Amino acid sequence: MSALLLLGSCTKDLISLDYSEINPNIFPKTDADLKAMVNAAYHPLRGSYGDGIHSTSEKGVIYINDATTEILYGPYGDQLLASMHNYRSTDAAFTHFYDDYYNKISRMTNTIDLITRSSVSDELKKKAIAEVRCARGILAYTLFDLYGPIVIAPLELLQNPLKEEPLARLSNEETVAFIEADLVAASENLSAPGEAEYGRFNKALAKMVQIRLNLHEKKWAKVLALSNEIIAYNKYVLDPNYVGMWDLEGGKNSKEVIWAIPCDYAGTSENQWQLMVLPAVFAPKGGFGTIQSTWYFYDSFESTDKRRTMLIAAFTGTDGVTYNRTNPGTLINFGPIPLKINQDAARTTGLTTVDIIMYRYADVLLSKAEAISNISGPNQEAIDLVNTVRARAGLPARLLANYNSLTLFNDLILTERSHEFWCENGQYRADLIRMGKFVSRTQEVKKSTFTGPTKVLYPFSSARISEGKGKFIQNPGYN
Amino acid sequence: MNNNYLPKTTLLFALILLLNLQHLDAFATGRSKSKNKWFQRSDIKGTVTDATGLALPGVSVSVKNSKVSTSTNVNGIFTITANEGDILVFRMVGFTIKEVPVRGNAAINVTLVESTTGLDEVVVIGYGTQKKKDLTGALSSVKATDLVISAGPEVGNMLKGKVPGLTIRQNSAQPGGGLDILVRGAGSVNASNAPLFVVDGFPISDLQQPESGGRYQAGSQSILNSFNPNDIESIEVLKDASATSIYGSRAANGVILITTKRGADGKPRVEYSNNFSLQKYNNSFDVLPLNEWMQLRNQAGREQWEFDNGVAPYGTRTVAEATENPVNGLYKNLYTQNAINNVGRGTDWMKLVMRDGSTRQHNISASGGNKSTKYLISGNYYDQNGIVKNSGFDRFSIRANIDQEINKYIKLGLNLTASRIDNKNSQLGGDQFENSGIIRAAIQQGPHIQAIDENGNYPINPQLALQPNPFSLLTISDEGRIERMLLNSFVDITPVKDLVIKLKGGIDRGYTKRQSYIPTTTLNGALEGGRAFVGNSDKDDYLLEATANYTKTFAKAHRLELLGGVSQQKFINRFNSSASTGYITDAFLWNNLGAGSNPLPSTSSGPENIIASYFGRLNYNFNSKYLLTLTVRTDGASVFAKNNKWGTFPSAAIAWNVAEEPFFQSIKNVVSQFKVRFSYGQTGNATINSNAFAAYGAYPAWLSGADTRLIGVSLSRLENPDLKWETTTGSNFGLDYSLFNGKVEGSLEVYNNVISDLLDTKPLNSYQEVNSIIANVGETQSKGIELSINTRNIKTTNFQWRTLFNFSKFKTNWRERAPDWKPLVYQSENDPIRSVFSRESDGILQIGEPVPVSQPELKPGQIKIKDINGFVRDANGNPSVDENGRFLRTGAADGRIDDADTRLLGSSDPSFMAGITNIITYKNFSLNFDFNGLFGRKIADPNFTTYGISAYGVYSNGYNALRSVKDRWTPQNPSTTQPSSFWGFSPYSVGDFFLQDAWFVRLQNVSVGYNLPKKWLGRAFSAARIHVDAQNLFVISPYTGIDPETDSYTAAYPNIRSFTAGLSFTF
Repeated sequence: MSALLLLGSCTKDLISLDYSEINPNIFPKTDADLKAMVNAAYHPLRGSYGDGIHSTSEKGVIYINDATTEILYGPYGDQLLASMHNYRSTDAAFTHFYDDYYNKISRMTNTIDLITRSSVSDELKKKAIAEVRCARGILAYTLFDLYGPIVIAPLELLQNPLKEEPLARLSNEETVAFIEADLVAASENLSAPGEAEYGRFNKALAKMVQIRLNLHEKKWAKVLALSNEIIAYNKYVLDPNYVGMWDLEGGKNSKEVIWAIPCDYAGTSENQWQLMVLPAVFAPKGGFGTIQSTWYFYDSFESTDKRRTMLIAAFTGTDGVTYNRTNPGTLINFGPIPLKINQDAARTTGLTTVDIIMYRYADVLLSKAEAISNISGPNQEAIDLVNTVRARAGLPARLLANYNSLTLFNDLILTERSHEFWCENGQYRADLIRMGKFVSRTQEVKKSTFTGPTKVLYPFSSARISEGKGKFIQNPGYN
Repeated sequence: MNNNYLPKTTLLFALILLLNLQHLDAFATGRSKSKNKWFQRSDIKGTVTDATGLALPGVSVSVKNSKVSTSTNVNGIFTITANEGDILVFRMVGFTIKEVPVRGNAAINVTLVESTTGLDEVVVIGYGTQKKKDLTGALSSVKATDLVISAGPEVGNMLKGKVPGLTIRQNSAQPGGGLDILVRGAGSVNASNAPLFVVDGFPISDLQQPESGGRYQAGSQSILNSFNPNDIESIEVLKDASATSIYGSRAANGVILITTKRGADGKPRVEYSNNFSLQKYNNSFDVLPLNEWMQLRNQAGREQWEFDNGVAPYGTRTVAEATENPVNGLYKNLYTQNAINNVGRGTDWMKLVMRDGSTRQHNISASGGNKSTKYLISGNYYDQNGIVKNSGFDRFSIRANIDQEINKYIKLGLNLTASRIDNKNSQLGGDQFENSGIIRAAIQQGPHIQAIDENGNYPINPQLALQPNPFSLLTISDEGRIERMLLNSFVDITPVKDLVIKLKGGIDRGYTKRQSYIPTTTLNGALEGGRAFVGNSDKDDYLLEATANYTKTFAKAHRLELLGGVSQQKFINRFNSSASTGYITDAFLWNNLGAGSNPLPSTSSGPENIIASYFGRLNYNFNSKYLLTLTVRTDGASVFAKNNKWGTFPSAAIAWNVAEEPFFQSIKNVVSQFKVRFSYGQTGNATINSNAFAAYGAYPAWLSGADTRLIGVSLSRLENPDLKWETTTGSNFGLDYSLFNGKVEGSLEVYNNVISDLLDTKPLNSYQEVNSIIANVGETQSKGIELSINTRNIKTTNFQWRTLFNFSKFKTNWRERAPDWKPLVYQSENDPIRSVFSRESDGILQIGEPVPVSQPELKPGQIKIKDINGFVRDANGNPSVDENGRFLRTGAADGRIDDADTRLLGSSDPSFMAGITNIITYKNFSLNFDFNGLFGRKIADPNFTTYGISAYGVYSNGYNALRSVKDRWTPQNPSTTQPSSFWGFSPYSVGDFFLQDAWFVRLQNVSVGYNLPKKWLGRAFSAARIHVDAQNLFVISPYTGIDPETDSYTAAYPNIRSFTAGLSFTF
């Protein structure tokens, strides 16, 4: 009977405990909590096979986007679909960027709200919000670049998560305004270049992404102004050693890098580029060999271009065979190995410690050149900017006389961009689209019959369409 | 609640028991002292036989109203000391009790009459026992004596096909491999569908080895591995709400009660048995030898070149045109015919990693006791070497059951199981590429690679730089340990007549451990400098229970049984693991994590939960004719949010034993039982593997410039304050019958379960930061029928033949979806829960056949899909929706293959299942064999689709393939049954092309035994038996893969035949 009484007294509060989680009643309270929330805003922007949009695998935007251009060719799998512009709404490789990441914009919206309502000092709040808004701007721009206008959920709906409310995509103008507002606000309150820690956001980065957004929208005056602002920081110069920027500590030591994602063997943020591009027989350490460059791209370089160094056109494998253009086997039959980064032969897993460089000063110079020529026609100032970039690659200056029309000048810029930024941030796809060459280049280089004007945007998954209950409209061509 | 209370109680009980054991000694001494006095009485001898004159061993013989008792030996002979005028009582299960007075010292020869039916049999129900004929709920009972106990390490596999409504599917054929056990189907969508296992009154939890955190999996283990089948007396499966609702919130998926053997009055009885099994590996995976592989590789390379170059029939070019302007160079055969002819068979990887399996088992038990003390102690050693090298299972277990009567008011008891299982893990699991398990690695490794070279290195395929040499995987050490100590102690207090109060305290302590080391002899080990891992989990379940049972018969006809109880079970889990890489030597294994130059992040977690309950039951029985059972249980669980912590689960059942009515008397010798039952009630399910509270998660989010991990925190779970129990509301109609004097007996059950407030992960708007939540959404319905027929076909002195047959069928469909359900266009409200959706395949596109309009990119040799439907579209060509926001179909082909062409094929549940067991004895011989089968199911053979069709990987990566790849479609061999190497390149999917019928009937067990004649035994033993058994002797199935039951993923552990021989002795 005493047991009966005992039981009666101990069942009043049935409480589950899990010591590995954080109870919302005690979070967020301190400066450390705030920092942790800001770190969480960086999380989706990592390189990570599972959940980092800048993964250097086929799960990341860099690899897939460059595969839709002449820079890369994939003989099978998702990379083949990308190469041939043969993607559909059933191909998760193209729909997952949206499905996996767009709700992280909402996380950042919630985070900004939590920070605003927290009790830490205003100075800390301002800094923290600037970083989160920069992350949100970058992520939203990345998705906008892939899919066109996206859904941005307002805070009121996020605070009431159990209520069902299908949302339509914003208009183009609204999406652009949303991204721009974030980046402008971020650039006001972030640390200045040189003051921000390596790997963290700074004012120049917020402006650089604004440049990309305004290039996308062809708002040349804004591009020009922003470029000038970054130049005026006087913190960046072109690195005399192009190839060296992708050495083991290259990104960290370079004065050209505006933003890079720190990576390490043990992960958290992962760079697995060697694994993706090196063939199995590559000495001393191979990889999956999932993708090649194209010979078209290789041939578009001038032979003395230093930027071509890491396009490996010949090598002797561990099988004793020398592979080259005349004996490519199945390893370099479509094009050279797009190694780009130091091969880091000491890597123990598939991962390397070479950081993922996202934005460099060279982009500022080429963007400014493009803005000038679009505003006032090609002029000496514009071509000088191009020649500055070419000179670092060990190439002779181009003469304005040969590029005196906007078309010719744009072609020059486009080629320089491909040579400068191949296998870096996946933005060359946007350059091709902006210049109207995305479809024709693929037809020319890859003989694709699948490409077409609708392929400039990726499809959304059918889950998004179903969920949208008619409000969410698929991109044209994918229905 | 005072947390220390539980262990203290257990300790107290243990102490009391210890004292009791001393008392037992004292008692024994006392008895021998007084023996002299009894010596003057006479020793009565006698023989007990059955109606046919066969000697009956093990009959309990006692002197009425005294403590003197004995039992008959193997020849049915007993000796007992008694006075003239004493009455001897003869008792034996299955026979009517007989009382015979002692007259002088004359021999007493007794014939016991078998009780005509099994109706007097007592079965175990929740918190008690009941006569089988008085049952009102749906319950099936299996006696261990009807099972082939030597068949494996655990009883689950032996139950296959024995119980109607119990689906047991082995999900891994590895030693001790896991089972999917379902009672009456599976109506839960997200919450667990596993039944509750209760061992001697203690609800137990599943113990699995921890995940190694590395790249290889250890497969699955059966929940029952900790329990030695030889210790089991009976297994009861509770099925309907009336039978299960006494277990309330954990009973929705049925309850399986396991009751272990206990000691009996009489002199000590010692049994020893052993057996030895052999599993002959039969080369399940028929991969190609080197010469045939080289030939195939040449052909595959040519095909590939033609495919890539658009040579007809893949494109429009001729070979000459393609040669003129090739896409990627010219094709040259990799091997000359001369090389192929002289190369031999290469490396036989399967042979290197597989072996014949074997099992050894020793089992010993001692039992005995007297009227006040009874005990049973047993020990078991089970050692199995699996057919995959390095896979093994070792178990030591002991069991002790002790019952002690202190006086007529108090009885004490203890059940203890202690077992230790050591798993030797080989690398299993369904992962692929560089994470492939050892079987998969051995299938796919080309025969051109050497197993080991002259320097002791393990060469790898140069085209697959990251795939380890399968032979090198044998150098991995990976050990798991599962320890369980289940201690259950009780005190029965009978303060007044008819009232029994039972206090029970126990602990189920599970400790599991995994230790692995990937040495530098393997590719991954070499890259990382060895990887050592140690992980362990500690599970403590405390149970504290008190019940009161009052039984009273009024006016001889009205029998009333009342049960009331309270219970509390607390679950405390602790898990932690650590690992490091970078060792200077492989010699440390996992024993020196600190010597790894690169420590990996450690993990740990520690959830605690609690369930508290109140329950009661009323049984009313009028002359065994009209029966009523009312049951209720109220449970409170900590995992639920504040608004719905408690749930109440009532049930009621009535039964009418028609055969007891006067109007039935005339045919009573034909129909001895005809009982109809009806029950209705509710049970619950709370297994959500989580809780209802909001939480933030912490994780490494970013790296600093110096590569330091920076921790991020974000919301990981939303709170659902209204989350509550999943409730199963079930009705069951049952019929129990016994015909022709028990020659034919059985039951029929028809049931309908509606499962409401389904616990599911409900998707929220996907834009939400956390876009799913555990919620109660929708309803499902399970309907089914179960039939059992047990017959005694032949029963003569020397020859007996019994057959046990059962059949069951169930169907589980959605009944109601979430209010904001967002269906894909091919889903509908009432789909089966485990739906199979697929496009419809339409054969293989042949050369010259027009390419379907809907599939412009389809190439000959690929699989055609039927264009059967299309979306309703608006003016812009966008699919349009109805007023509920759901997409519509036109019902007609629309010239494109999309989701609209996908249709429901059915359910992945079998449409029915059946089992049949035959038990035959002839003189000293016995034969027991059983078949079981699952019917109406379709699966695709995963080995065939991965390695049996396409030669693509053979050419491009140097993979091996199954022999069937030679029958693939090629332009020269335009097969209509097997597509080309490039079937996977079709963007239209392959639809249902590879699905095949996979019903099966398996001869699960055959056991032939022989009881050695007594004259051979001498004085040492009272009985001895030899037996030879076979498991899984054959399978009848149209399925063409390795095994229709265990082929659940590519390169699953093959299920093969096993032969056993064994001996047993009784002293």
